[in-house]
Amino acid sequence: MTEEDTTTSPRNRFARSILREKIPVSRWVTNRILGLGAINFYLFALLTITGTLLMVYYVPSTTQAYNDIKDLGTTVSFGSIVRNMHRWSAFLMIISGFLHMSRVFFTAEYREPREFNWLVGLFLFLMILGMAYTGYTLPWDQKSYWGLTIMSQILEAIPGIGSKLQYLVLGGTEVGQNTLTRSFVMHVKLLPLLMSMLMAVHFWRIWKDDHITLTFAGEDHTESPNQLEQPSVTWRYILTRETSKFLLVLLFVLVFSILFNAPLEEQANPMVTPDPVKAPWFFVGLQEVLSWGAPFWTGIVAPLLAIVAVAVIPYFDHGREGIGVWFHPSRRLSNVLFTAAVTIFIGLIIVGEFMRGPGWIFYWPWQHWSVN
Amino acid sequence: MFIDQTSRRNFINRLGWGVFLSTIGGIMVASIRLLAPNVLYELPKEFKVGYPKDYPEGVHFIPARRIFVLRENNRFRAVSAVCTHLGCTMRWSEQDLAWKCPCHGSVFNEKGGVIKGPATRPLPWYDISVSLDGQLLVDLNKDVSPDHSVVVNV
Amino acid sequence: MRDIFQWIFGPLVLVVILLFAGQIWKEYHPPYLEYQKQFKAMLVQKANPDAKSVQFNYGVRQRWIKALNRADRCETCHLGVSDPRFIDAKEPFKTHPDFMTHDFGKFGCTVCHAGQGRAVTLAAAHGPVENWNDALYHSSFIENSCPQCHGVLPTNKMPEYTHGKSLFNEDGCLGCHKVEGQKRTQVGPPLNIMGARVKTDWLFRWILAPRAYLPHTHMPDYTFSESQAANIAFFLTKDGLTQQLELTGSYENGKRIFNESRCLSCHTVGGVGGIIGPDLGKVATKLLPERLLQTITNPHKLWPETQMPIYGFTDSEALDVATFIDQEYIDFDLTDQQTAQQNTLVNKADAVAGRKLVQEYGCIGCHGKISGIKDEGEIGPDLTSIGNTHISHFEFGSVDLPPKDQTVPNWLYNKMLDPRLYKVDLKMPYFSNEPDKAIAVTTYLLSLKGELRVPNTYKHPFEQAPSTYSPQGEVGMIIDKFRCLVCHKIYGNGGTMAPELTWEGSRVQKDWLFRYMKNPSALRPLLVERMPRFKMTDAEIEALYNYFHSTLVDNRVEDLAVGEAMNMPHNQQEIIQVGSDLYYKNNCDACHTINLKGGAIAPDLTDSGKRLLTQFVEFYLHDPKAFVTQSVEPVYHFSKPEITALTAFIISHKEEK
Repeated sequence: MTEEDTTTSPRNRFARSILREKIPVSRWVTNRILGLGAINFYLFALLTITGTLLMVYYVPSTTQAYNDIKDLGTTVSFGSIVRNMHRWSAFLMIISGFLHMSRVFFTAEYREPREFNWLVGLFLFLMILGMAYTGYTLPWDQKSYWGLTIMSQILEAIPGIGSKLQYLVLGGTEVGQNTLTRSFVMHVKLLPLLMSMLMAVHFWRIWKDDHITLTFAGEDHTESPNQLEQPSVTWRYILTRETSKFLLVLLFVLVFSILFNAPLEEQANPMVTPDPVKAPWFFVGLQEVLSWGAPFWTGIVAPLLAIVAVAVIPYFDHGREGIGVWFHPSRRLSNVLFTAAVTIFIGLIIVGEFMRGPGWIFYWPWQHWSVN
Repeated sequence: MFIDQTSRRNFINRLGWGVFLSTIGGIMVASIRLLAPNVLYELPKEFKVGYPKDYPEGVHFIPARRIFVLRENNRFRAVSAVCTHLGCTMRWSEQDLAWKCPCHGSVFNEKGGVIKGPATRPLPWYDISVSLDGQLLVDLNKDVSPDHSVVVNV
Repeated sequence: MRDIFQWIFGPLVLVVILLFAGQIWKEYHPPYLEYQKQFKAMLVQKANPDAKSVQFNYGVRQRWIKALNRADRCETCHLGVSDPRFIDAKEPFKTHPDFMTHDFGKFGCTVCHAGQGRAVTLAAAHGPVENWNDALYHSSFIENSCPQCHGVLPTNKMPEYTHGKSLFNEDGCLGCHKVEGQKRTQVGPPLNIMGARVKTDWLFRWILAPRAYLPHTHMPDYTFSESQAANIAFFLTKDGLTQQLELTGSYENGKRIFNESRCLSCHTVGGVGGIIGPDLGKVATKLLPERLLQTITNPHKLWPETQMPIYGFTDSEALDVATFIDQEYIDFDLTDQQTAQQNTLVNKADAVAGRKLVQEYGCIGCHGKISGIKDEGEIGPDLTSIGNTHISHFEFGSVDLPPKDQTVPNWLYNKMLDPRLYKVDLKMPYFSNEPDKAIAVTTYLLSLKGELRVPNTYKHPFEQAPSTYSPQGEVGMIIDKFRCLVCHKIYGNGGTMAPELTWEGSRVQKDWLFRYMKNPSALRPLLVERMPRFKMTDAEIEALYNYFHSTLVDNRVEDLAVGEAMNMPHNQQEIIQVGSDLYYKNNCDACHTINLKGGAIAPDLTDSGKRLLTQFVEFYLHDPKAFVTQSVEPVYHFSKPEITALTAFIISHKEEK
């Protein structure tokens, strides 16, 4: 091991940060990045805690689940606020996860050597969506039931294996107890486990890839190891800073939870399809696309293409210019394309959420839904 | 001046941390409160066990509620079927006129008193009465003496 | 080295702990606490001066009904429901009426009242609220829940439901609406060959406004236009008679027979009479003379389902009655000019359009047979589970109601008052717009919940399954001819207008029955005799008596007949005297009459020695409520010698009235 290795290797730095009053954390904390990754982690922690509390009362049974969620809202002490916090944390996590990815894109940070971590991040984001979706199915209300029904119809549209896949996911030929049990297992066991593992990989890769590369335009980002070594902040500083961020997140979630109750629709009823049936807001864009054509193309091919497109970005972008710089001029085209794609998707969500009435008919937001 | 500022900042800082930690503590206490249910999905403690005429003379086990209903002539009594040692359900021995626990061998006499250990406490007897519709009504909330009975002319 | 995060740490901590404290405060101040405090104060007041003994725990009260998968927390606020001391308290503390009959531990609240049992706030528990379909039933409709356990049969324990059900059936709702398990009955007469039956102008006016002719008819008002009514009338009457019959009987004789036959027991004229048959006040403007004569002679031939009996008139008697009716019951307000005008209108109408209307409006649903029309089943929506249907399936149309009034009961109730309220171009006709009938029918409709929602152990039918009694053979034909079961009940089948005949064979003597059938007279002085005077032959009465005597008997009475009753010294004067003393001592004469002296509520006993069987009197005195549980006859618990004496006294009266 050379001298340089011992001073710059991450392990060494961490050890010193514990031992010394002043630690050389460099740009990790001092630069003006948004800290969205950390916020995602805090939200994950909040979700784990509130989710565990909810599980104490929840029974994943088609006859029982709905009543349990009702009880959380009526008789369980603090049950309502915990459930609201769980819901709002989840929504915030989708948003902050998305912002995190956007930040990485706009600063071109996915480039070599971090293309693997970009992939890991993408999978984490998909898992957040998976968690949110399975979470929606657990109360076994109308949204749960019809969401599952529509999802199973999309699965069936996959050529060849469709109906078999549907059989596996539903645990039968129709949405029922098996489906709920499977959703529950995904939500409380499988996905959290995978997410924790991927998060560990994600953090480890950040460490390995020397944190982030963000600098400011015009700044010299070929600093010498000596500059990095400069002890700049105290341990307490980091602690206060991160606790403040956590408190900020908590405050945000608390305020939303106090102001807006998590809705609970009517109990799942195969005989009554609400009109319109709307997916949870993060999937309503996809639902809008689904309304355009055959489920195979709109529900399978289109989303898969979008995911693959995001996944392969680092493997096509080999440029070296503009890494760690917000909106670097050399990346104008890719930034515009990315922004356009994001705008379209958000637009789809807005159209689906606010401009679709009964029968999935288009309405302007100020128009009154015709009852018939 | 400088020292004052520093010490004040220190104080405020510590106070902040103290409040933060107490908030965390409070949330933990609230979480434990959440674990204590406010409504119970349990069978009611007061329940009907059928009409007196359906009970012949003797000791009758009510499996669903783990009690024995006893009839002597027209007197009805109710006693717990749960061993006071570690909670196994006991059996009535007609030969020995005693309740015997299958788990650790405790034996209770007709009055519910301990004949043989390891149990130390006698069996609790429960209030029994006749409800308005003529059925026997047992109330597990009310412990009574072994002589407490309700007389029904059947 | 400081940044924003260093500065906001303190304020953040403060805000978070404040919000957290707010949550704790909220947790310990639930909305129901105010009611519980009030109730506790009332308890303390009631327990005064023993106030210390009051035990009251704050918190949610729950009834968990495992068998129904319901958890009802209504008693969190409705704290006095099973405490009789709160019978005069205001809601929410009032004692539940009937709290002894329905064990709340077994039923809870919402299985009858609906609402959201798990909710613990006033709005959410009572509803209607978003995301909860079952709003609390208004007390007017509450009986709709009874049939879940108590069966669908009519009973006076569920008057609202029973009223609604009978309206639903009698007004012919089943003609257009299917209800699983209910037979579609034709409540209207068949409409083929109408041209041979009614006057064209009358039919036109009838279709236009049925209630103008019969204010209480079951025929609803379709609000047809004049041209529509003319089209329908023309379609129905186009194969009419070419030649009209002249009625040439005796008016005077017809009037006499009409009165003797007690036609007004069933029919009304000028506001007087029964309600079984239609009002005859203007019947001459309706029926063609030929049809009138046929109806009087043999109504069953024209309309087998009719409730009208065959009187057994001779041809000349029938002609006289028809002549009387045709000349007597005319409409003075109707001019010849009007009828001629209407006839012309109809004769110029479009039969094809008329046929189309008759087909589209589903007339055949109630009228059974209409020549040229095919029955295509119920044209209205299936109502099998209307009471359990989700509110989203009900369209309020242009009626703009606040969400709190958008409930299924409210929709149904307003629809009953105004069937085309929500959609103008509906076919549903106008029935009655009386609110009490609307409430009754709504109650019945709400009770149609489709599949059962309570386990079988909860079933507790009020009434036995409907009787399948139907007399066969010769007697069956006689009973059918005179339509006895329209008014009398035998073995649970039949009407309630006249006395039940199930034990008639154990009650009356043969001679009396013969006399009565020839010339019926009222038994109870307060009542006007309504038994029609049929032209029964001796053979028919003989057959009826034999049937009564062999089949319509009560074994308990018959046992007495072969036992002690026959051997009792009923003829001894001393015993009759003892009975007489008992009769007056117990104030029997307050209700019963003997030789014009006594009360008017109960049957006249003047001729009971000729009417009643000894064993019946004896048995009846022994247990007056054995036959009719609602009998007003008091139970005196007479001893055996007393019964013997009273029986002897009663049957000693053999005077003619």
